[in-house]
Amino acid sequence: MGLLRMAARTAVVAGTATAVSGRVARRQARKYDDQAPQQQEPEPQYDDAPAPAEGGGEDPDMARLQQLAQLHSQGVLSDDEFAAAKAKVLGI
Amino acid sequence: MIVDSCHGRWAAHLDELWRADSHGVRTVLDLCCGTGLMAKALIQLGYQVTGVDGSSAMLARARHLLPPGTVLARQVLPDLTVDGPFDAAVSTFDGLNYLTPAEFASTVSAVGRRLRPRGWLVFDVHADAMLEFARSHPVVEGDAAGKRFTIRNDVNVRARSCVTRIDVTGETAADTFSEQHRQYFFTDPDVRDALSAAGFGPALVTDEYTDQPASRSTLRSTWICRRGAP
Repeated sequence: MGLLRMAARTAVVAGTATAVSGRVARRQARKYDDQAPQQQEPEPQYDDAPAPAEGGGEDPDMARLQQLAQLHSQGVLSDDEFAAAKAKVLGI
Repeated sequence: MIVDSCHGRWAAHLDELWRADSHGVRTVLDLCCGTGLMAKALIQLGYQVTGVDGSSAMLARARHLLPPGTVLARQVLPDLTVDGPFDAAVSTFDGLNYLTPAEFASTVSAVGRRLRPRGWLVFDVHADAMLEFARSHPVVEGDAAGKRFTIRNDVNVRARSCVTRIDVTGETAADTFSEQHRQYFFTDPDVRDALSAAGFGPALVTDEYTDQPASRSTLRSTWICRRGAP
């Protein structure tokens, strides 16, 4: 089929290949973690960064606040931007 | 055709980041835009996107996908001639890993000159775990959309590069093809030095467009930084 051939010859396939290998990699990594959790190396520590949200997906406002705090603590957001964005989430 | 559904999710994540910008983000430069999937997702959220890519074939597909009037240009990085300034630049799906570390540094520098002060640069690149995956998985096989594919990885650990060959076998000759790609894996200091030399402030590094900080198991990391100091 001409369309498929065209799709295959261009970037879509390159992206797909990466995505597929990425997904396979993730599965493999999970499998590896299950099998040998004691071999996992400790995660790097990030100064002042808030802990990753545990079940943060349940409360979008909380997840958003944690994201903003993370951006602020790493210096991506200025004090003013952080304050303004936080106030918007909290509705104040 | 197989399209990963990630683009909409990633665009929403970028939108969340940029909503905190006190100046607002409207114009976005999409580096290595490919067939325009990310640009489309951003345009749907109201952004004005300029796409650049090294492949005319991909740009032709992007031209069909994106609204008329969208600026698309063939640019072979690190040569960048599109005019700025942009509020933000993005590069997704490890497009920048096709550059050598030196080309990456030149690209970041060229992008920095096209961003307004405090403009954003957000991109994903392979992390060390992906290099290790490729090294430890010289052959990956699977099925996608009814076609069998085989991916062969040939990693040069010293050069931190990988030649990936994909062979796809379909039901017809037209569905059967091969492609070969060479990608480079940057060290974190490579990336940090390049950003710093290009005038970017500190970066937040996360696990592929999520709020989770990058860890040792991160396969692709997302770098979020802005031009100039806060």
